[in-house]
Amino acid sequence: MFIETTVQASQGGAPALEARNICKNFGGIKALDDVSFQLNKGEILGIVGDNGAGKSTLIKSVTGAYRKSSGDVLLNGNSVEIENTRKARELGIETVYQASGLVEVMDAPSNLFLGREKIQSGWLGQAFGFINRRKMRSETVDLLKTVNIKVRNLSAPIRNLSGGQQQSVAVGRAAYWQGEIIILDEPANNIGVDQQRAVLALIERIRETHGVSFIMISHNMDHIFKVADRVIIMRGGRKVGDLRIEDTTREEVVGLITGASLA
Amino acid sequence: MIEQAMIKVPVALRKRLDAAPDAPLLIATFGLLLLMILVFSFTAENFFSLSVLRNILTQTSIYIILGVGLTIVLTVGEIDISMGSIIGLAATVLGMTVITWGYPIGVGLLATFIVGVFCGFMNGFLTAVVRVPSIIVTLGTLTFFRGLAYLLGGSTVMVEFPPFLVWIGSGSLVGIPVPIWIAFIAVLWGYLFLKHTRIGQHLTAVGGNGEAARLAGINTRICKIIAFLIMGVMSALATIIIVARMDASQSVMGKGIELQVLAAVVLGGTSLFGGRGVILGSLLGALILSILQTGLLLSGVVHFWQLIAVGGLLIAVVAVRISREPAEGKT
Amino acid sequence: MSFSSKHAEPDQPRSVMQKLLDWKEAYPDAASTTATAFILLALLAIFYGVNERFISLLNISIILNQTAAYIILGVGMTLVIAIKGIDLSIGSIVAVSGMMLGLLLVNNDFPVWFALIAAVAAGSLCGVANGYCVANLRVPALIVTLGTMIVFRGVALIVLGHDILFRYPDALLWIARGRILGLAPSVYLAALVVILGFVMLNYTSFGKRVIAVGGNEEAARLSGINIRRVKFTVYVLMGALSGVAAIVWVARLNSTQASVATGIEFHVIALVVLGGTSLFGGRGLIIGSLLGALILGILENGLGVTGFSSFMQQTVLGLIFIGVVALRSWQARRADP
Ligand SMILES: Nc1ncnc2c1ncn2[C@@H]1O[C@H](COP(=O)(O)OP(=O)(O)OP(=O)(O)O)[C@@H](O)[C@H]1O
Ligand SMILES: [Mg+2]
Repeated sequence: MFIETTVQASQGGAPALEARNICKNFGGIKALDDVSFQLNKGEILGIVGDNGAGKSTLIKSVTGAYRKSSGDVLLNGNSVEIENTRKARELGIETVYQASGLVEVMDAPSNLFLGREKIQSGWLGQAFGFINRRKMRSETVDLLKTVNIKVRNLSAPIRNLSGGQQQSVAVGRAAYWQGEIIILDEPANNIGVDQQRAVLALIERIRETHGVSFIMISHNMDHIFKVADRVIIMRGGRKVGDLRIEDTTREEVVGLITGASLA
Repeated sequence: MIEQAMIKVPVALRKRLDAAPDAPLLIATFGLLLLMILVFSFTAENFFSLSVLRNILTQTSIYIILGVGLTIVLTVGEIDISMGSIIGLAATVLGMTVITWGYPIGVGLLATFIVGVFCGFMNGFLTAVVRVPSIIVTLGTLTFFRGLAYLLGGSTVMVEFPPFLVWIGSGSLVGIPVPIWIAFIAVLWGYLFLKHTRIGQHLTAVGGNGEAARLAGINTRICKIIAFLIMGVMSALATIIIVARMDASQSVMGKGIELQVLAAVVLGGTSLFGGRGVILGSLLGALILSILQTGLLLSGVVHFWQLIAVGGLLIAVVAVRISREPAEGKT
Repeated sequence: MSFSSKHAEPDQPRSVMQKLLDWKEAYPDAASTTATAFILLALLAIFYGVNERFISLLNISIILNQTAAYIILGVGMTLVIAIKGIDLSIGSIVAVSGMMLGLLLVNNDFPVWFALIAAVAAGSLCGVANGYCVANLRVPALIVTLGTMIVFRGVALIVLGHDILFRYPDALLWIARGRILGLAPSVYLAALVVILGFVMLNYTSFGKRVIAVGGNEEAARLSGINIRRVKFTVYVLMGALSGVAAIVWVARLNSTQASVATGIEFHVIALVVLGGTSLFGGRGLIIGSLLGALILGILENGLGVTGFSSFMQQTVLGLIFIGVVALRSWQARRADP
């Protein structure tokens, strides 16, 4: 999947993802007001902003989880119409949404393959859509190892896992399916220090080995400054800053978030 | 050596049980069923005879078939209380096509299924697309479908169906009554569909967490409509057996059946909140209810006390289950 | 909300429509209830168009008398649904309370006041059983009341068998057949229940707790509300009101039998929903339910007067119900996409 991408990446100069003039209204509320941004190939882009600034709404509007009120999305320079999340996945955008997006009453393999179950190879799979649980289980075991989670019983509903472990499964799912772009809404929220480190390391590793581009929303400045190349700052539904990490400081970013300094 | 083997077995068993999370529930429900059979084999005369068992199974086949449908609807996080009225409407249409208008039985059966699909689609559309809570939708269609049945058929009883239909009701294949075969196939299909197919997996996800399923690219509306369509088809199937067994059709058929079916499914461990459907549990639940009722009848208990036993058992079983699974009670 | 709303310029004159929308936002209950009232008026107009006798004092008093029991049950069910519960057993509770009246007044010669108290007490006791199972055993309300619906009906059947008890004392019959200012006492009783229910739900701390429990049980628990007690009380109230409804019911029919009021739970849930109360809990529209009951009563009466067969009536009732509810949820969705 991504081998092609890396080839393309070295060729074209167009950004992996570009959002132009995105607006989103909820009833009378303007949650996003004319937001544009670019995600360059192989880049990790941080998005920061206060609670309610519109960060989640932005990525939901871009990935088809919300129907945006107006604006355009371009992938590799080509305009695309992403009407739902399935389309986004088909186009190679994996997203971990803020409320983890897992079905708590189902087991880890079912969640990992949710909506993309492995089908049995024979006629049973072809004609009736029989799923291959064994394959799903074994791949889940491998994946959980890489994100450093121990699960005693793979068939137990994941609500038996701790909140942090659930979050790791969600991030692991995006890592497993890694498209060309992975979007993470507060991936390190709610999880322990060890697992935070594992998640950040995973992000960097995937970027290095596969050249995947990332968008990462976070409230944690340490995380942003550790892994991101660039950061955009949201406030009140607008983009108020777009800075390269090398050119900025935490103070400046925090100032933009709170509105203390003018961009 | 021996000790090791003794430790190994439980571990192996535990692994197996871990891999089948519904197993403890099914075992407990099955235990209840066995207990009931045991008690009645003392109190009720002839309870263990083959003919009684055959009768119970044949009689229960209708509830089992409907139970498969309702389990799937509950799994997707919805409910259907209109199935009794679907049966009334389908029975009326079956009677009219075959008896009043004299079409061949094949056409009649086709018409029955069309009614089932139509009613299921209407419930599904109103729930999934218009987004009215399904308990309200099916409360409305409960009245509406029954009204249609009355309008079409009045209160006349249509009798003398062709031999093929009568065979479905009272014939047998390899010594086993046809309704039992049909129920068996419905359960087998329902189990495989819900647990082992992609769509079944999607239905469970939609019932478990609709938003997560949507974000994972699953079309939640279509899943809900599919569940109601299945309920409609199962209702048609049940209609055919009911009409065939009585060799008669009437617009009041199926009245109040939804409560018995709901009780059976809930006894079987399917969650009312979606995301967990236990088809085999519904089978056991339906059997428990039938055996309880038949057993009490054969033990000479008046009908009214049977009602109390059924209601009490339902509440008690669910109460025990909830007290043992505090996590489940929270949701 | 952390952003400035640019369109709020105070000097700009606002259209009537805008004012209406603002009002709708500020008083959502009043807005839904007004919508229900319009449906009611439309129905009245239609039936009046078909048959002028429909709006006569006589017919209206008849409708109100027929609807009194529904109104009383509707108030209770509104509370139950407001805590995100449901009660399918009310028809069977009416049968148990009715049975009590029959035993005390027909089979024996107890004073009427005593029988009335006993009927309400019997209903409350049924409510206690429901409340205990829902609140303390934490069994889902749908399952509990499905079970007790069968159990309570069984009790009535065991006691009464297939007997029909009639010839009640005049003092009881007066409740439905007497006239105070042209209306039956049962109508005043229903009005009293509506007023008490409205005040309790909207102006007392208990009402606030009911809404809190229905709106977000976990939050209510964390803020120190005794959820069990609230749930328990609501189911007991529902039982007591079922007892009151039984009195009105028996007085109007002058008879009791074990199968009385079978299936009314669906009518009562339907009227509460017609009145705009959401099945998702956290909201209860008592006046809406009153209007919903009247809509139901007018439909049943009106379809009869205008000569629909009872078969047709059921079809039309179902269709109207589905239509109204579908319209409501379509509207709700337009406001909040
Ligand atoms: N489905 C919705 N309906 C109505 N308003 C919404 C909806 N989703 C978000 N909003 C509003 O849009 C604004 C932006 O919300 P959003 O979730 O994007 O914030 P956020 O930046 O992700 O905040 P947080 O850091 O808390 O996750 C908020 O004011 C919120 O109230
Ligand atoms: Mg957010």
